[in-house]
Amino acid sequence: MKTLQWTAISLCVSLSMACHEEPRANTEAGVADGGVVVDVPQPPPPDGGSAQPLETMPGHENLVQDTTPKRGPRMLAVESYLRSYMALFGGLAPLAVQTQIRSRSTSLFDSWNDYVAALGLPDYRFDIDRNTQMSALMLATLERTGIALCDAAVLRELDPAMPPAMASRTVFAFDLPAGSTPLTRDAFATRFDVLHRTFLGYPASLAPSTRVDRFYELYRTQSTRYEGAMATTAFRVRSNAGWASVCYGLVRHPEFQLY
Amino acid sequence: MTRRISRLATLAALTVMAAAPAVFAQRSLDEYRFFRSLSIDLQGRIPTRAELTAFEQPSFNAEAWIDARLPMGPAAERMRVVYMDRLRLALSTVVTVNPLGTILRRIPVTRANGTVEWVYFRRGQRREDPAIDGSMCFTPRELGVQYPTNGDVPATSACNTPRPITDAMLNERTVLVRPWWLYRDYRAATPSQRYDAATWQTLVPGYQPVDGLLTDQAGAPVMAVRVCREEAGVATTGRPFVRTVAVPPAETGCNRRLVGVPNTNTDAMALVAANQRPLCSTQTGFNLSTECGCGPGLERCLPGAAVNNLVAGNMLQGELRRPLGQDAPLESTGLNPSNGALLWWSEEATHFLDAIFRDDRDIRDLLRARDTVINGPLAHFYRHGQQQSCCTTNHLKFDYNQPVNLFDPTNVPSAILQHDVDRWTPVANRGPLASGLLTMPIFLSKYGTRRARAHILYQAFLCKEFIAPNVALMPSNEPNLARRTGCSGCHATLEPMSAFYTRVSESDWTYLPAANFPLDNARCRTATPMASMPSGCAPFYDPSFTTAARSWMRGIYDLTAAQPNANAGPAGLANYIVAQPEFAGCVVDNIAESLLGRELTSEDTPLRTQLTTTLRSSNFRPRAMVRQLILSDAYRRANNLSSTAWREGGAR
Repeated sequence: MKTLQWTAISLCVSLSMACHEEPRANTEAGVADGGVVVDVPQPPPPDGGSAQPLETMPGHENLVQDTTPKRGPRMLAVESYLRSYMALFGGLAPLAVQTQIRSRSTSLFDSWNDYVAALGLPDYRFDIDRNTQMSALMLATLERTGIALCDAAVLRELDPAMPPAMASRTVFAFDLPAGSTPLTRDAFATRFDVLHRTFLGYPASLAPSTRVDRFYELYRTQSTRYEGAMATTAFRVRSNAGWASVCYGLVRHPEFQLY
Repeated sequence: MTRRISRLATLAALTVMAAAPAVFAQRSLDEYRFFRSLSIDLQGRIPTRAELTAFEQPSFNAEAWIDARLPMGPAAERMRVVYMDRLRLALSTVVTVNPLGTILRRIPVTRANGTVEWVYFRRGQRREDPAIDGSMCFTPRELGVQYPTNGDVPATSACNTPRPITDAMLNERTVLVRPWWLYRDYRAATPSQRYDAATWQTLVPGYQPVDGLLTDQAGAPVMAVRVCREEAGVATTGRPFVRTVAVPPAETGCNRRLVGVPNTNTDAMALVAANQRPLCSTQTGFNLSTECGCGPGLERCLPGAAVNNLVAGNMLQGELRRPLGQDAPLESTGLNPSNGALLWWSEEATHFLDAIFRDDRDIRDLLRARDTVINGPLAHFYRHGQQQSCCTTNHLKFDYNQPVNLFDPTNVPSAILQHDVDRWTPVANRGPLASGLLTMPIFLSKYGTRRARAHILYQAFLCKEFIAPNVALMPSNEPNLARRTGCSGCHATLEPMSAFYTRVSESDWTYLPAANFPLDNARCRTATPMASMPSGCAPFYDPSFTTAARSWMRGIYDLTAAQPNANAGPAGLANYIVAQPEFAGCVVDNIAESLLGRELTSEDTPLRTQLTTTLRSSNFRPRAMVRQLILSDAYRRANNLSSTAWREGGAR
């Protein structure tokens, strides 16, 4: 389980500053893609204290203790991941998803058959067991498929020229003001909550307190980054790049891939 | 540090909030996590926003929500995956299922008018003319082409000078047939319901022949196929063919035959003497009778769209596996008859498991039930294909030419046609020899030997493993491994379990009935131990247990001890396993460990005991146990580290 946890942590560190909500004292500075300074967590220090029972300490006699065993998260079965993925893709069948993505770009996505083994799907034909531990290849595959999902959702649901009906939107189920000016923090937060619920299954208000701010920073930075590059990006409106990045952060979030 | 939230308190929070005046109930993070876990395990996906909104309503009742989803397909699939992960019931395409009697190959024949036409044939088809007996109905000399064993004729081949076949000869040797793969009503006197891609997707979902079967050499739609005359035979039994004409000298060079002339007169004469006519759907019928063809509309045979004497080529568009089910294919590829068989065998186990969990049946049915679920291609296999492994010349030496099948072909519903690829039909009773997964071809082929079959069942259903004791292996002549020092630690258990499969051939599903195969056969005894056994005995009788006084069937390690198991068959093994005290606990372990994502530990002993009691008290119907598990503290705590804690690698 440790391997899984630390692999998930590495994912956050290297790929999404939005995963790190809570400042910790025991950190060191690192630089992620795009020059963003992030915190790299360190393992907890060895316990140097004595094994004195808590209730014997003055003032702790009536403190409620949590003595339940703690279990780390388990991986989403690959079948559940794929079904969730297809549902977010609008309920399409896998081959239709593959066709749709590849019709826009053949470099973004190869084929499900190329990915399912890396995602941990057992292959009974060859006695290959279900993969219950994260691996670098699995993370890379989650990255690739997740990005494909977000890009397709941005193009499908945030097209200002042909905005689909709100009821048919599976990811970006919110309206955006006309124009390309990035949203304010508060305007962002209400929309981010929709995405947070969609991918992670609970309101952003219950997430660590810094999560909204960190994702807003990500959104704002990415929106600004694409300001002068309209002609070279697939995102028709500058703020869409910001929303795509927020989507990347959530679809790659350990809380999405674990449960 | 988080405070402990008891299950009752959380359930109360989820179920009694109806009194709250707010539109949305205030849920805790733990409650949201719990709901997400429920959705993943019972719906097979993360919850939608709409489901989250419903969950947030004060009236939301978690137990009612669970009860509504437990009987549904995704929850059944979740349980099925537990057992498929343990049993791994699928086969690599390295395994081929190409019985000569069901595979229709084809090669192009040039007609007198210069057109080229496919002619379908079975390799090994019996014909009265020894020049073409067992081969294609035109000789290489007549065709001017020597087809290789695999693939088309190379353009550079010296044996590739097509000679036209006269219409008279073509009509003498071949006939036109409206085959099953083109006509839904192929059994009619004049079939008319030809395949149409647009309408057949509704009529028979999933059935999609490859293009090569739908169009001819010129690209025109095929309305009927030309097939060698013997292959078009519709008889159900055939007269044994005893050749009375001398076989001509073997041709050489470009006129060389691809396969030799069958030499089966001895077997055929034995059948004639016994006044028996073999069934045309058996290998005996195919091997010994010129009257046995592919049946009405060629229904006993499977075509391929290649020029290929070894493998027939692709027949249908489909998938090699279906991890998300038939409605969510991950690929679209050509399936030849062999790959198709492997897929459908595996899918039979999948649908059988789904049916048991969806209907909350006695989980012992996994091993004991006589019912199953089949589609069209499987119906074809059980009607015709399964009997192609019997009976060979070795079986005939024991007068075995009418196979007794684990799945009685007469129990296949006649309404299921081969086109019904994605239409799965329950079969209430496969026959008296059927026993859950234990007699399905996927299980018998995946675990080819008797010991492999016993071993995987010991692992998956008793959650036990064979571990060799730390005993020195000494030289020994003891053939009984259940007794031999160093081996007996495992084999004393394994051999009796394996013996239940004595009457089911290894790497096969052919049943060997007692009437033809006594456990101790005087005919196969030898004057001295390990001497050469009489012809035909070695495939069925074990030389290690053969002397002048005995010859025991393979699988028998001690006649007195093994006899009851051998006679009880796979059903006896199923009864033995479910009667073991470990069985119920193993069911609980399998399901609980999968849902909790970890092995059960000593801390889980009370839970394990509760779940086992629930399973037993519900007559081994698993739903109550699964319900109890997902409402348990252990399930709720399956991921109870705070976000911060598990980022920091903490265990608490």
